[in-house]
Amino acid sequence: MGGIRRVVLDVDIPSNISTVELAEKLGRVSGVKAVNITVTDTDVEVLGLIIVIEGDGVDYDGVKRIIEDSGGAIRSVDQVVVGEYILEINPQLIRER
Amino acid sequence: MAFIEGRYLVLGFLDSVLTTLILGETILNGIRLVIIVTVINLVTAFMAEYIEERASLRHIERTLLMKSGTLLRTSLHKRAIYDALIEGFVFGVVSFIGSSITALSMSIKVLWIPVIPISILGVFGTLMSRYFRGNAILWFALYMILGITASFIGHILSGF
Repeated sequence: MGGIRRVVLDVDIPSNISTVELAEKLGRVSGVKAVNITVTDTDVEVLGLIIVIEGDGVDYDGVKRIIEDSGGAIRSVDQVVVGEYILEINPQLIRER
Repeated sequence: MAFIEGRYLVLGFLDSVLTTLILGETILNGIRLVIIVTVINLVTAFMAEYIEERASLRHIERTLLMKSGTLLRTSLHKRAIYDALIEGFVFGVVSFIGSSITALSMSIKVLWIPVIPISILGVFGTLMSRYFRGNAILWFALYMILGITASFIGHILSGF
């Protein structure tokens, strides 16, 4: 069975941190093939982000280290996909809960 | 790259010239005086800036609900130290220039007033007033009065 293929994180970072630099640093982590950082919340001092990372055997500890070293805080891991392929969840299953 | 605050350029020059004017009459070795003024200003500027940066990090920690000291292990803290070092260095260099010019030209006087440093202070005041669109003549006079007062204090202290 393969390693981590996708991880979706809810992250808060200080607003003086560059999201471009953060994305570039995350892109260099072992196993990462693509990074999507979307700002969901803006404040004077804090940016709320959703970070989606996809790849092949993503080094999650490396990802966590980069985010924390940049002064960010991982609030929650909203989705993790592990295996030979990316298994998408049926939205109907979420709605029915 | 660190953004160099304008206030450090003003503070560095003004502080060093006034300190040299006051102490120059009692510490007759010009080189020693310049080194003292430069080192003190460099260290104090670094500490002042570093404390500000640490306070800012602490504020971020509280905003992000982090434990105190969490950000000290991050690149943000390294950046804070680097920025404080740059500001301290700029302050030190400007202090060195201001103190050197003053020490080298203090011997040319009218009464107790070293003419060249006082004139340079006046010009500096005029340049500063342009920065915030103030009255150039007023700031020229103000800086000269500051310099004359400082040199008078130095003159009085040298008599003790």
